[in-house]
Amino acid sequence: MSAGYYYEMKKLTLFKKSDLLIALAAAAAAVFFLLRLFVPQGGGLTAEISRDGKVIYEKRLSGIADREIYTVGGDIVVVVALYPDSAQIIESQCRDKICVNTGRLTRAGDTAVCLPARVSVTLKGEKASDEPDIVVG
Amino acid sequence: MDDREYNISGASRKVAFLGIMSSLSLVFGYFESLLPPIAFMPPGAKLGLGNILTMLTGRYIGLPGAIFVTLVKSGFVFLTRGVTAGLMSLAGGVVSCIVTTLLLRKSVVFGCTGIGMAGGLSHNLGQLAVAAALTSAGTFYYLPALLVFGCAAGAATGFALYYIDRAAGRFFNGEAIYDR
Repeated sequence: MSAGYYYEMKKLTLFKKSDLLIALAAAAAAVFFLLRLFVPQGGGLTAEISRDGKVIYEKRLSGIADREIYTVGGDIVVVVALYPDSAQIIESQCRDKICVNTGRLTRAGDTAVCLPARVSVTLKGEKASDEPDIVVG
Repeated sequence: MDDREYNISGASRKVAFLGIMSSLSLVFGYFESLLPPIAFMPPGAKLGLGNILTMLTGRYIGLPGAIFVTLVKSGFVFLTRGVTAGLMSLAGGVVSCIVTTLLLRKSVVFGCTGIGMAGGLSHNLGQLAVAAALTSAGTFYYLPALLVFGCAAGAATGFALYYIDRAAGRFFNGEAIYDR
C-alpha cells in the first residue's frame, strides 16, 4: 500500500469571515424576493390553474359575480374557489393539506401548490404575465 | 503524509466508508421524516442531516463517492415516498454534493459554516428548480423561506461537519485503529 494514496488533507476551519458573505447574499436575496411579493399590483387579476405544468383553466377574476367553484379532477381531486378579488384552494384530497392551508391568494404572483396532485393555482397581474419570476441555472 | 504500512488496502477502506455513509444516510432520512413539519415552512423543508454525510464522503473519498451516497439516499426516497419526492431529493442532493465537495477540496476561502450554508442553499435551489419544472414557475413563491431556512439548516450541518471531522480525521490518519 503506497503511503501517497491519501491526498494531503487540508485542515477545516469552523468559521471564516467569508462565510458571512454567503449568509448576507442569501438574506439579501430573500428580502428582495419577499419585497417583490408585497409590491401592490393594480389592475385585473387572472387566476390560472395548472396541472402537470400545463394551464388547464384561466379566468379573469373581475368577471366573477360572487363565487365560482372549479374542480380539478384526477387521482387527487382539488377544489378551487374563485372570488372577484381572490382565489383559494378550499378542498383537496391530498394528505398534508398544505395547499389548503396556504389560504387566500390576493396579489399577482400569489400561488398555492398541491404537489401530490401536481396542481397549482396562480394569480397573474395585468402585465408581464408570462415572464418567469426567476430562472435558476 | 504518513508513511506507515496500512494493514487494510485503500480500496477496502473506501468500500467500508461508503457502506457506512450510505446506510447512515438511510437512517438519517428516516429519522428526519419522523420530525414534525416546521411551521411556516414549505413542504419538504428538512434539516438536511444527509448533507453531513455527503460532505464527509466528498472530503474523504471524493466526488464520485459523494454522488454514490446521494444516489443511495435518493433511491430510498424513490422507493418510500414516490417519484416526485425522489426526483426532488435527487436534484437537490446532486447539486449540493457537487458544490460542497468542490468547496471542501478545491477552495480555502470558506469555513465549515459557509460550506454547509452553500450546501443547504444549493440543495434547496436544486429542489425548487425540479418543483418548478413539475408544476409551474409560481413555486418560486417559496424562495424567500427556502433561502433563509437553507442558510440556517446549512450552518447547522456545517457545524456538525466540523466536529465530526475532528473525530473522523483521527480515524483516517490511522490513529484510531492502527496505533496500538
